[in-house]
Amino acid sequence: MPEPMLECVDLVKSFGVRRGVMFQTNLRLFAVDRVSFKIDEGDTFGLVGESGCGKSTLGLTVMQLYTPNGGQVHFDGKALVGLPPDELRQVRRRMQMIFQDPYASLDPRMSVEQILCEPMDIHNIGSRSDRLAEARRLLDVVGLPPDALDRFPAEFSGGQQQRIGIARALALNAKLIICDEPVSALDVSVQAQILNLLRDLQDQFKLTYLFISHNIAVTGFMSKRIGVMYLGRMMEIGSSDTIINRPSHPYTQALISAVPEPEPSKRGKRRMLTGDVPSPIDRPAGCAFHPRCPLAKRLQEPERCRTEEPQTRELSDGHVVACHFAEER
Amino acid sequence: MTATAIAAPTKRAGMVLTVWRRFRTQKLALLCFILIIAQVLISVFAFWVAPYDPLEPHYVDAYALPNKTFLMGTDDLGRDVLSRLVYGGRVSLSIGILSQVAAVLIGLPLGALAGWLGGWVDFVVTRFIEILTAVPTIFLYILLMIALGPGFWNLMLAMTITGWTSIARLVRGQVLSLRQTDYVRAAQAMGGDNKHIITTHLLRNALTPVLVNLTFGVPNAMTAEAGLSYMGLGIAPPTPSWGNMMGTYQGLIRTNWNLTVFPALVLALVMMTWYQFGEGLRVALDPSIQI
Amino acid sequence: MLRYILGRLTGLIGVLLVVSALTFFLMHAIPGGPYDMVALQHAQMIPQDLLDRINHLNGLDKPVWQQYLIYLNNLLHFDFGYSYISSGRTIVEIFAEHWPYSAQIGGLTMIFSFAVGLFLGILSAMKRDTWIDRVITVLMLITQAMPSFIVALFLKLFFAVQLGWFPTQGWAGPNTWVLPVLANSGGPILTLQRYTRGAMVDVMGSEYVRTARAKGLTERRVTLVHVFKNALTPVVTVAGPMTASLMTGSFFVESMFRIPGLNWYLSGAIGNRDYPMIMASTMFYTAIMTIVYLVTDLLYAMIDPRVTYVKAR
Repeated sequence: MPEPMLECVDLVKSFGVRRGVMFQTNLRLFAVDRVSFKIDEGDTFGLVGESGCGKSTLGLTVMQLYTPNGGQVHFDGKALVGLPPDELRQVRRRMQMIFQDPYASLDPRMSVEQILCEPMDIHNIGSRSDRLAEARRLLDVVGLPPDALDRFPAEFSGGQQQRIGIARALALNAKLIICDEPVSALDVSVQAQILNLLRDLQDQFKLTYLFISHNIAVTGFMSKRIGVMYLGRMMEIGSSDTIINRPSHPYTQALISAVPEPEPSKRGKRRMLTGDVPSPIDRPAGCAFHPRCPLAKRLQEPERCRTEEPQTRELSDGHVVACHFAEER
Repeated sequence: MTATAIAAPTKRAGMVLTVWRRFRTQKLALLCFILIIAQVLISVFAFWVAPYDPLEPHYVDAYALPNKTFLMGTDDLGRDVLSRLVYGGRVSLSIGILSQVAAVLIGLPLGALAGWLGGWVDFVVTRFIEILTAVPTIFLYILLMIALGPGFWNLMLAMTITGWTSIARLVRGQVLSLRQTDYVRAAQAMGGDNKHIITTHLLRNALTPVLVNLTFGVPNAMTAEAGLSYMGLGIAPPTPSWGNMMGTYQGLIRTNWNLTVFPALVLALVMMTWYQFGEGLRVALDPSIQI
Repeated sequence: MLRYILGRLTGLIGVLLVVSALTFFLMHAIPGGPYDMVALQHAQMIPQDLLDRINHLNGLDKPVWQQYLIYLNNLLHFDFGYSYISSGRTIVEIFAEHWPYSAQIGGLTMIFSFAVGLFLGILSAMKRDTWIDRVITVLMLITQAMPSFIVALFLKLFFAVQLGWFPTQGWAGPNTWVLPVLANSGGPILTLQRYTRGAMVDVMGSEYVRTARAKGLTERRVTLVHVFKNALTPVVTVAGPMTASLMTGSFFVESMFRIPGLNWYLSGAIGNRDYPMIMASTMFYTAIMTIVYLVTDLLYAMIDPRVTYVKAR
């Protein structure tokens, strides 16, 4: 069995937070709380969850743009946490990111040519004409005309800006691309174009994706395997098919049931969640989901849900769940 | 390929041209810009513009009010007021502009480093700024000028020491907010080191407020110089400065009003042109304002 | 919060210490002693043994850092020493005699500037883009270009000398207050007008004001109740430092109008190299500035009880 391209083991990222005016308490916000998963080469791993669940933070932490407070990230055989800066710089060539807001991810005062050449400038690759040629090639790969080189990001539409971002991510022949909500800011028609582009590129260059999104339908379309996060914890991981059609965790079940299904006969029972998502600072004790969990209500609020945090356990091959009562239906 | 090679220099010029086009539409600011160029030219060519030598006394014609020979009259030593005004302008303008440039040369890198590196660098720089700003500016000037003594370069030094803090603070704030932008994160993700990010991204984007601050700093510096010279701490006579002219002759205000009024008027007018120019520049540089 | 206050207070003391050290050593680095001026005045050299005795009495013959420590010690007892020039008077006495004048100018200026500045700001905001607004803008522009001493000069020239409406100097009764306060108020009025107008225009376009209008309140009520209240916040921020700078900024006005305030005395002290006076004034004003900033920050923190600080590591 070949080594996975990316493996996270018990990854933790926390922030120090002070609240209150007169007598302040020092609290810790665990944005990412002991998350583990792996992605094989050439696959897409989808990460879903509501806003504030920590998925974007996870992406940034995997990239080492945030320094993890615990756990390890194995990428392409190397352990990233604790790696000396020079080696990390080299590793960065293989691991790139696409951001949610296409305009914000491009320096508004740099031309497209400068943006695309920047990665090559940093790593001193090729001569000036080599880089130009490469920039032109990249534009072609993502479907943009070569005259885009002289223009500035503001002159392009959202979809085109995202293409520039993708082209930039490809500039160093990266193997892993972390896509942080790459289409959430785009119009629906444009979303389809970009998603198809991503899939084509994946086939063409054997790319591995970590695809972060709050949209389950889109994630299901793109991913081979999906992980579901809630308040910093991984609730369920499984194949795309399992998660969407046979979810075991009550939270996943509720999420899936909320996806609009045009075909009336296929519509399942809508499982409503009560209450609002608690603030990540005030995480409930025990299972983070228990105050809103329909399953817990059905089972008359079992003690275990309130006191003991469920560990992820394997239900079947490759399917892990963090719930005490996942077997109940 | 030649086409792209030519395109490269104009890309950066593209931003300058856009700003210039936007600036041009503001008639008043444009007029003031022209006036400023005129000021600079007059100062540089003071020798030809001024009718008399500013230091040359004409004892016989002393205390003259404006007349045909001496358009703005003469002072107690019979020196031509107009010529002294022209040369005084040279002093004000050069102090105004140079002090700001010096402040930026020191404040920009310090602010950028403090904002980007954080940690003890930020701590030290911020403490420095705190201490320098805790003392009222006037006092700082006074203390420094007493210690250094009057004179052009001493004044420059004093103004630089007091002036870098506002730019540094500004740049630091800019850098702190730019740190959170996605494109800086992307640059880090690519493997860009501190030096690269600061020079390629931060400076470029922090430039606008720095430019505006600089432009507004010039008239403020001119006021400071005038005030200090007025008190006898800035430029010392016989070198003419609008400030020291006002200070020396304020006692004669009843009889020889020209000795104080003309410097005051000129100072006010010059400052107004700079403020208007600064406003125009600020609007032209702000991408959110539609022109 | 307590932690924050303590932290800031420590910072304040730190700053004062550093400032006192800097000023102290700066003064002592200047060539020439404090008696050069006196000697010049009397046009004779002070005999060496007399000089030595005076130096010894004042502790000026000790090494500089020792003098500094003694000075600090005295500070703690609020003993600022004697003025070198005005023989025999302690700094504290001088402060007590002259400070009230400066405080009065400062206070009156504050009241006047706030009244006029806020009024003009509100007016120009409510009537924005009309001729009223434009006139005010032009007025403010002119004020901006004229530093306080020029304004003082012109006011004096015009109203006192030409028209003779007001006396040209002194501080004794409302008659004498008008011109100095006017001259001093230029800057503050400008700042206040700008801030108020800006804040009000911002608030006027915002969501919750639109809601109030939709509720059907009259324009005037909307303005007075909602807009003004919320536009007040940035004004309060500015008010603090402005107070501080008003206290220190009346140098020119005082000397122009011969008002015997602290700043006026100070300019004399500077010319005469009266070190204790200079040091004490620097410390005094620095302390005022820092305390005012601290209070402003505290008030701000109290008004804003949200989560204030996220540290990313």
